[in-house]
Amino acid sequence: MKEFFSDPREEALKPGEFSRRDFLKLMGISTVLAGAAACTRRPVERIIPYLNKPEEVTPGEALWYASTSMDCHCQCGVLVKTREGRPIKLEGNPDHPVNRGGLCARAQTSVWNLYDPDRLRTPVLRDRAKGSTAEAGWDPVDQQIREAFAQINAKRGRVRLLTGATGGPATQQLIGEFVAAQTDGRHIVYEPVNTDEIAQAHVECFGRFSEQSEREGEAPAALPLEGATRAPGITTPRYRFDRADVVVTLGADFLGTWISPVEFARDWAAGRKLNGDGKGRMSRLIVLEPILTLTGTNADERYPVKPTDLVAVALALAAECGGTPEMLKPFALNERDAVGGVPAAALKRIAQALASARGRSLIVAGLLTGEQGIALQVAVNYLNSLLGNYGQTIDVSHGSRQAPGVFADLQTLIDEMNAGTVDALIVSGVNPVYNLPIATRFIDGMKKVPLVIQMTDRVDETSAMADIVLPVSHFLESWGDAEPQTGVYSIVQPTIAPLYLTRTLAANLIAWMNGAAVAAAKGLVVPPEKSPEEYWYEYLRATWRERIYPTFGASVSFEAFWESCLRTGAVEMRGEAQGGAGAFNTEALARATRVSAGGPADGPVGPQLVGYPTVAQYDGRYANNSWLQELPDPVTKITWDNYVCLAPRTAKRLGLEEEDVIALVPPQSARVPAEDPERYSEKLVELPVHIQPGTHEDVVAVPIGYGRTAAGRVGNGVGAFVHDLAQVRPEGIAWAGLPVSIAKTGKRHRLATTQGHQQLMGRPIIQETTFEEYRKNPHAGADDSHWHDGAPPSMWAKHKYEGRRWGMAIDLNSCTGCSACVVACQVENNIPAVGKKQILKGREMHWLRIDRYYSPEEENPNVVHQPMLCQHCEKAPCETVCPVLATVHDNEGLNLQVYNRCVGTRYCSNNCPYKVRRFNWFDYGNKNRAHYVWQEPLHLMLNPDVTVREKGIMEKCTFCIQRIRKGKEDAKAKGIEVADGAIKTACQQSCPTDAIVFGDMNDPESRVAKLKKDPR
Amino acid sequence: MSFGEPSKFRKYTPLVAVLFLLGGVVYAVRSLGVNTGYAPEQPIPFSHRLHAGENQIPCLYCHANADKGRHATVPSMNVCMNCHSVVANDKPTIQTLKKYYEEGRSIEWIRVHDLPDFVYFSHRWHVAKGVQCQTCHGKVEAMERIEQMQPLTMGWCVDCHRAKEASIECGTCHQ
Repeated sequence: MKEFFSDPREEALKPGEFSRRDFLKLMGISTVLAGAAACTRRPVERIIPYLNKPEEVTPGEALWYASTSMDCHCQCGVLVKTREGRPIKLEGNPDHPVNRGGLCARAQTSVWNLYDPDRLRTPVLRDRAKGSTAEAGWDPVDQQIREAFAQINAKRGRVRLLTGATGGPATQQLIGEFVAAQTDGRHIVYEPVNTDEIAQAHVECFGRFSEQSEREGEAPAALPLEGATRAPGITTPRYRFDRADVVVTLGADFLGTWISPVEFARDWAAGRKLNGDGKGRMSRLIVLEPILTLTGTNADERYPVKPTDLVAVALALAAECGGTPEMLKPFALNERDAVGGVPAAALKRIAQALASARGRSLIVAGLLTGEQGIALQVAVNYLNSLLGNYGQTIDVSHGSRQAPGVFADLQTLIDEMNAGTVDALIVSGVNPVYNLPIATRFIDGMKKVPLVIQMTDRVDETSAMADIVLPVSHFLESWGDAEPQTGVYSIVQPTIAPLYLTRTLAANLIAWMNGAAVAAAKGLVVPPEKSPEEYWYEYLRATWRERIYPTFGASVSFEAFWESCLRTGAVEMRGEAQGGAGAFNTEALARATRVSAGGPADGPVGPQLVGYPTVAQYDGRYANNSWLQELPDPVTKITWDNYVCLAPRTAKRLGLEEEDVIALVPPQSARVPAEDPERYSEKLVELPVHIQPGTHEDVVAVPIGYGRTAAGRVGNGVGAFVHDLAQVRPEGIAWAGLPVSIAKTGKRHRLATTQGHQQLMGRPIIQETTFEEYRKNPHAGADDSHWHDGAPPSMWAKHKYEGRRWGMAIDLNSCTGCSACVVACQVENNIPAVGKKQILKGREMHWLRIDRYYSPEEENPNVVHQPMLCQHCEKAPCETVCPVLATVHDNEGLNLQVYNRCVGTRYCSNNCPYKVRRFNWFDYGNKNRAHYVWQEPLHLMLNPDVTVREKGIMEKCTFCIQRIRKGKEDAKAKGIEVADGAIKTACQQSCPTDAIVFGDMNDPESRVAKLKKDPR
Repeated sequence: MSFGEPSKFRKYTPLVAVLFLLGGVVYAVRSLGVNTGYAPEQPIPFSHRLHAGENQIPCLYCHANADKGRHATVPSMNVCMNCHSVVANDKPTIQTLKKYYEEGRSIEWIRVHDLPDFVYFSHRWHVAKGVQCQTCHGKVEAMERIEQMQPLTMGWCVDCHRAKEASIECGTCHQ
């Protein structure tokens, strides 16, 4: 009970008066609120104008440059989008002869590599004995190197240059001149994943056909590479998937990682386009492979074959296709039921399909390396030659130089180094200490080289053993050229000034050769005060003037020619294939039959190891790139890890479950280098198990390219290092078909996967039919029995669209699942990579994902890929549940997400049937927060036209609304209507197979409107 | 109601206080981020009154991008120097400008009219439609120091869009 009815202090007050306390309270609150209102001025922003604005720059408008993607081996043509001088996005160059518009996931992320915070910024001098390092300037470094070379050359010492794929005519010529300027110089080219086996097999089967065709060939091929080392990849032919009606691949993942996947995917899909009238052409893809690759997921027919059986299967096919040599006899099918697990009936069917498509078939092989690999390639060459494919689907006169590598040269270098006869080793653009198995003894050899110079973009594994570590310019900062295929000359042009004190390989070589002398030899007048980089630019132009310009005749001036090259990015000087490869040397077949000496199916018993490059990480060079680390593998859908793929039946037999950690015990010969067995004896590799349907039962498959120790803050320690599991043989580094034993460890390791459920379970998520059914009825397979008036039933009123109505169609028949679109979307829309921990909680941010479903047959499933993005539903369930109207439908059919309205209830995500809405659990875009993703200078690559989302709001695909606006504004400026195809979404632009089409559905002539009418 | 019983009113005091408080909160929140009247001191006391008013230099002479792109742009230093290499060379502020230019530095102006990062605004189409600069920026030609005259809030934008029958779809400004 209260003592007083009211407060005695208030009793004393007159009516209408406030008590002192109340007054103070109100005063206090008012002051606080007034203060809050007054202090809300955002942090002061500054406007810093140009000193002299470059004429071509319009702030707020993008500028595009044509260049060549040199971060990856394919050397596709790219268009680089720059904003205010910063490259922010790479797109495939539609005019480039190699990729013609598409661009793979790896190349898309090159901007990340450019702005990588862990790049090396200045030259570093290392003391190998003490392990100490010191930063240095270029002048003293150049001085030191020039003096060192002078001394080495004076005593006729050896200088060796080790690079990956290098570049076009000017780069090649310059390297040639540098090597020739040394008394004993040599250039070794070795890409960790290369086409050496293909090249060797072609030399064995046909002799040196490439040189012959160079003599007979048209002008570009006849250009002699004087003084330069010949590109070793030239004996690798160009494969023409667009001309093949039947494609058989034995382990080659040509849609994922093999030689030139963007080009191949495009060509292959061109043979499978349907136009809705029940006709159309459908090439056939038959895949025989040990592991389920991206290509395997797209197969019409697929058979798991273990690596050591691949050669026997190829030979059996050869015998069945009418191969006559005596030595093929033991491989003929005869009465046998199966070869290497492939039923005889199937092999007969494949042989028949091949025989009925003579000159229109193509057999390719990959995965196997070393002597097995050469044997397989020989067998495949024989098949192709038997079927008359050379000169038709295989072009030997315009060979590929995209993944060069000559193991014999590398072996010679390693031997020389170990013998202590190499005086200087220059390593550029490759990371041999990481990539080469320890058993190659490269590391041992390196220790005996007195001077190791490395050009690298970061302090990596190899840098730890170098004396001078030089920062190399990113290709987006460099002048250069490329020749991905004979007759395709491609320009690399800078899109930004070097961010740090970096130089290109070419500029370095010029600096060390004395730039003035190089210029004089070239007949160039370059003022002596010019920098090596400026010399290189002049050198590049002069080489193009000498070697490429003349074939264009005198009708244009060189300046006009050069400008057109810069604008288009490349010149193509190749015509049709110049005849076939010549007569097949049947003796070469002996190699193939020898490998499978005891007849078919004679491999070692027990598990066989297969190491394979993945779409995202390839050979490991992209390890510090978060976008790629977080790109779900197109097949396994796992991010941020490598693993051991086991067949479901094998895992069951061994009592292993997903995420159980097992130890792989490498084969003896890989473990023990000659002199020091103890060092490596404990080198077991521990990896989690991933149960992968489609893997051959006897195969233990591991992705390579993980387990980096010096990649940077992102890549260090991701996955396990497996390269030491490979076997070093005289013919090459063998990566498949190696004996390996498995030991359980009892440990568990969580794998971050983005897809929890792998099967359709009878749900009509994807509707399928066969080509035969489709020819009878183009509508086959589509289930619309529940529709009313051409649309699914709905309780909501229809929207009216008076103007445009945006829509997208994705041709699932063309989609290969390559995931280029996933990354393109991330780069375009400032989508962060969130890290393994968040992926494990299902918090990935991809606006566009690709769902991959298996059919129930676990051992050899059918696989379908389905790109999944916001469907911009006509009656969107998200719109009806948002309490604050943050997601609404607009008058052009877009489902909009208004970030500043969103309060983060997540009802929309809960109500989305496609699960394509992503929630910002953290402040990924705030540099003052722990989860900040765009660490300086990564923030420079953010697209200024797309809002960087903050914590607590929902985001999703916008159909690239910023691109729609740009398309509309461009049309408005020209006073025309938006043309069909003028607006391309980022995913559409990147798609190598042209599977994605975007446009106005209200325009009956638009591609998308026609596709919507397609009975499929 | 009798004035002789003050306690009757007194018991409403908390309610009054709460209402007062709520009013304060609403007022404060509504004005959050509204910077009308913001007129910071600039590194060089540039006078629009002198340039645009007295000398009648057209807006687009310096803000040359306003009809071309998203940003109106503050002129690059060489545009200043077009005139000031000869004009008013004796003034200390112009000498500061010259010194900056010769040293290869740009003046760091303080931004006055600033939309949030989640808003897309393009000067180009507003200029093309004939919207006067003064509609959003106020009588710049009379300002000695640039000051934000309009609230630049969403409601203010939408009012005009409604009046002029321009698009009021969310996606027009938010992307």
